[in-house]
Amino acid sequence: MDTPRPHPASYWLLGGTLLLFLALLILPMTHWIAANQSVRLFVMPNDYVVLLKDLGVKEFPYTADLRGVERARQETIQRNPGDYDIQLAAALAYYPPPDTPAENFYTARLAPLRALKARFPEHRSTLSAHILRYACSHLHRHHDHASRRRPDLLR
Amino acid sequence: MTTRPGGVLTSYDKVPSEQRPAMRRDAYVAYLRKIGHAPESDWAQQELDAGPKTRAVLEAGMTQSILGGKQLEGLFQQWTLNMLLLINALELLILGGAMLLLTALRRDTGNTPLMVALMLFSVFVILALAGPFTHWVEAFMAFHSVVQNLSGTDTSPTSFQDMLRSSVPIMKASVLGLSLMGPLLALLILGFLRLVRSKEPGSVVASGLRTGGLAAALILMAVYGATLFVTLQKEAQANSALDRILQSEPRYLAELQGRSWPP
Repeated sequence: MDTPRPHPASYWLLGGTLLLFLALLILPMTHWIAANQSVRLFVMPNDYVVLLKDLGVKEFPYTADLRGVERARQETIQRNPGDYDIQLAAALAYYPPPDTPAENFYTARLAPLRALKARFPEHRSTLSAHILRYACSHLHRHHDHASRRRPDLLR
Repeated sequence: MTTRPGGVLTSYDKVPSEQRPAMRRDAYVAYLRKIGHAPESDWAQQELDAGPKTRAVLEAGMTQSILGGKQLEGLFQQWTLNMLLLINALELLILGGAMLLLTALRRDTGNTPLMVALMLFSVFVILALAGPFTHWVEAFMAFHSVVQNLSGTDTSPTSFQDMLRSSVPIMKASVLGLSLMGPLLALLILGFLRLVRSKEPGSVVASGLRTGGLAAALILMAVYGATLFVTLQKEAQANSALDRILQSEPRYLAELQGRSWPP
């Protein structure tokens, strides 16, 4: 005996569901959220975990792949060279490589902030305040050593 | 400066704590007048009087704020609901599509459809156990908890339902079960029908999944689309609230209570 063939309605149901899903993915109003939620069904919450770690959550059982986040951060910094806020955030978040000699650490730490003074002259005073803040923090913590380098640090 | 006017240390140990701010203010204002700064004493009095009012506005507003109240929790729940609807719709779509393919290949007889459906369901279970969806729910809950801690709002559960909702293992298990609910129910119902109608030609599982299963997938996708608009509305409200917080959080908190700012 022949098995019953599928009713055409089955194809309509399959096509209709796919079409509706595609429409939600394509429509400008729903695109970002539908795409975001679809991706989240298959991608681990890397960006969220980084955010949680930044906020001080230590006991999260899942470890983020920080390389991808760092790559995205660098791309954002390079894509927005004229955005003062982004460039300031990048300079403030900068930490010298671990092999930097201890006596040069804070000079290297402040170098990106100093470099921003030339690129954003309209924000010179704010940048000087940031440099002063970090330099004073260093002087406070390492007074004996820093006192010899004070003119250099505060420049 | 206001606590030790003129450098004199006054002990308020025997004074009830609610009276201490007023006594400190009076002592400071009296000191300013004594040293010939009467105009500044008026200003200081206004500022010190505004302190408790400001605190009251901020504390009451924080419970209604996007950062402290139920809004953020509602947004997370909406995202979880969306993702549950989407995952169930996609699973039923895959099952129905597989059954359509089997039918087109004329392989929809005997035990083949049931075996294929069970194999696909096993894949869904493995993906649900190892996949990122439950991690997202855990991350949402952790983020919500951090925001509540930072905003200083009460995080202790007040009811049994709240206690269940704040438990990570229970939420993960619930989400895991709900993410497989669509295909599980479909397979249970069709498995039962297969036993009852064992003499019917063709596979009940194949025909059920390519009709009822796909119809359920379409309905779930339509519901997903509808709830997506609710989520978008909540997202817009949250974004607007965050923008207002960036501009002036105290003004935002005061406006939530229908008060003016400054108080």
